[in-house]
Amino acid sequence: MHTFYQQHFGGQRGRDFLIAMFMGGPAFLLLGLFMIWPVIRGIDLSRTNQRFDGAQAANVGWSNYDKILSVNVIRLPDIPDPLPEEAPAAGWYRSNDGELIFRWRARGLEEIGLGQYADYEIARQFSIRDNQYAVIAKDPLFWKALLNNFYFVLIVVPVQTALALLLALLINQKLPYRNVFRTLYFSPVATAMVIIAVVWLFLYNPQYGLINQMLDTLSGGQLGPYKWLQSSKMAMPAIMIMSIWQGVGFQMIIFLAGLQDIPEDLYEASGIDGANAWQKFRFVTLPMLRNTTIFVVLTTTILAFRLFDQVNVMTPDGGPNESTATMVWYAIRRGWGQSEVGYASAVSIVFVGIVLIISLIQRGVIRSGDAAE
Amino acid sequence: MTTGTLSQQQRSEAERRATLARIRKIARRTLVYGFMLALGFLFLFPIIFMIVAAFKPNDRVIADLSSIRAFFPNPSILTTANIKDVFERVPFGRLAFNSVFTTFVTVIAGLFVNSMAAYVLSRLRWIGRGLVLGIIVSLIIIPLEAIAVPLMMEVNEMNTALNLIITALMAILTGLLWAALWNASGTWVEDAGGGSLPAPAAWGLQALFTAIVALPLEILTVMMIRQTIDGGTWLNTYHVQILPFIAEPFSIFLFYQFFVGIPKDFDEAAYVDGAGPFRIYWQIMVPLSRPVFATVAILKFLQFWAAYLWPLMATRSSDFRPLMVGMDFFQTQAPIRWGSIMGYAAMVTIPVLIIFLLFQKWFVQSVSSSGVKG
Repeated sequence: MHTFYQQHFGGQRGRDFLIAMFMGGPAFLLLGLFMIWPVIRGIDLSRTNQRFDGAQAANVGWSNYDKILSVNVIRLPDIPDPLPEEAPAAGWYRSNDGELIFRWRARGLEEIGLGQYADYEIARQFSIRDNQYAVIAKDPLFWKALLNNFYFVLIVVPVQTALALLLALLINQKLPYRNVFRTLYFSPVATAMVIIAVVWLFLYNPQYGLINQMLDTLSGGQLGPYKWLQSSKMAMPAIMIMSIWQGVGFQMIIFLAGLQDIPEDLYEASGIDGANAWQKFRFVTLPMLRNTTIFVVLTTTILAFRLFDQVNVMTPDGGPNESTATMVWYAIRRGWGQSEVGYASAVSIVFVGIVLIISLIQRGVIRSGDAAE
Repeated sequence: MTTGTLSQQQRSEAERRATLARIRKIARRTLVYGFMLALGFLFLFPIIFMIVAAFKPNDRVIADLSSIRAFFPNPSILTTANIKDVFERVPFGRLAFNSVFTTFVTVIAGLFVNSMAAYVLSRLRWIGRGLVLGIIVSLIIIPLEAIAVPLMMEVNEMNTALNLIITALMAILTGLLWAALWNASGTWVEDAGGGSLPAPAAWGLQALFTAIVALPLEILTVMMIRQTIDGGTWLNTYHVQILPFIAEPFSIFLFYQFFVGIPKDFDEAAYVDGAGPFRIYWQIMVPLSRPVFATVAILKFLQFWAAYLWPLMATRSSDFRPLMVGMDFFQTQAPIRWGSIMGYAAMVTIPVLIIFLLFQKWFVQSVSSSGVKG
């Protein structure tokens, strides 16, 4: 013990340890208190039915996670009684288009002979041949939010990265006054998202909005008018467009720095070899920007998963048909809006898990790319 | 230049070609500039629209929305009624103060705390260093949004022991900053012409200077002392918006990267001269690292100025709410006046846009150096 102490805490290293704790201690302690401890506390809370209003909490084991993660696909039994004329309050009916629809909110699954799924709700129905199938989940809204999140990430990350690169290439030309344009394209980044979201609420107005008006003028009446935030199809794209518009300037600057790091003689050498502009881009610019692109994709992915501000400002109730609900929005709504801290903590922990898995996968892909080279 | 071998015809042919090339170049440039300008309009039009609408009468905001009048208002109808309405309906001054205060204190305290942590991680060899560094790097991907709910629970039930620890921490930090500032301000006071003063007056000046520069940490310490004495929830205070965000893994990482790149010769020379680690940090690392300090300051400023989720959850009244959350008032409280919403939005945005335009070079530089190489 004494030698261990001597080795690690005596002499120069020991002095360094004390100084490290003294100078770095504040940051480490604050990080521990306000980042690591909330995660641990969150795991703890997620196994209770804790409420924020101070009601007594009980341990509920893994039931929160069970509720969040339970999802299944089942074949629905054949229609008990066809009701062709009018739609019943509950049960099967044929819509005017001849589509078979099951009203499920009014009647539980147990009533159609699926008692073991009594806790589930039907999230989506589809038919293969004549059989009716249903995706059922104990908490369909969570899955909806999860899918919305992935929808947002899968569109925004590639589009924003590509646009940022294009803008950076445009700005990187040796043109007079290019810095003016750089400032112009960057200015939305310096504006707070909440403010931008409020302004875009006006622009997306279905009746008077500037965006519909512009689309109409530019396309000669071919496009629009869209209902944007009022339609379940267009609400998420509307938020995507605005988010890309706001964030692309940031990535543009990072790409610009990457472009300026590429040595000029590489272009000259490839010019001597007879490369045209496209070949220069394809075989010099892109490979040289590899690390920058990886950085941009990684950071944009994490940022995109955190989507909350604009959703909460533009569609506080999750949008038409919950089409803009996201995981963070859902966790905050349950935990803060409805005071169900235990359940919201479980949603948050699942969210952290998903973000972790995505970043690990991304890193793995990058590493295998490195190995292949 | 004599080109005797060229005939008149060849020469005119060459001239014609040169003119064509020039025309082509001009045409290309016009096209590129036209395209860039169109893009510029695309990026700017919502902001222009907001500023114009802020000064229009309430009923014209929606009426003009779909016409060119959204950007070029009739000058005779411009009014400041919206701005007046904003001041009447919300304590705008208080909200603005809250925003500026919390952002300022978070950024300043964060610079100090995070850079010191990065210093001990990059320069000293101590047991557990690798582990701590690994933990900090992996914490970068944990977003605030994911821990907001448990964090709210935590700050709601802070006990006296934790309050005391944090108070002590803030006091230590304040002491450290005092020592450093007192040390540094000696030469500054002298440089500023204080050298001719009698000793007590110079000390007074030094103490005043130290106290003013260390103000953010002093205020935090006082707040924490009051919190410890009064007890109770942290919700709806200033420090609940500041303390959880002072230490930040990404800032530490940026500092760490920069410090690792500074040659060790500098601090070794100082070490031979008998300087201790804190002195090396304060007198060598900090002055050498101004760019990374600017980077972290600007990135954190953008982040905390726009902070919305946590203030929304952690504050209840406009006594402590920042500007971003204050916006909700206009969207939810009748009568909903579109003009006032735009007025408020413009009042929040214009100061930051001006700061951005003045320091745009720094903004751009800080963003580009946040893009880690490799």
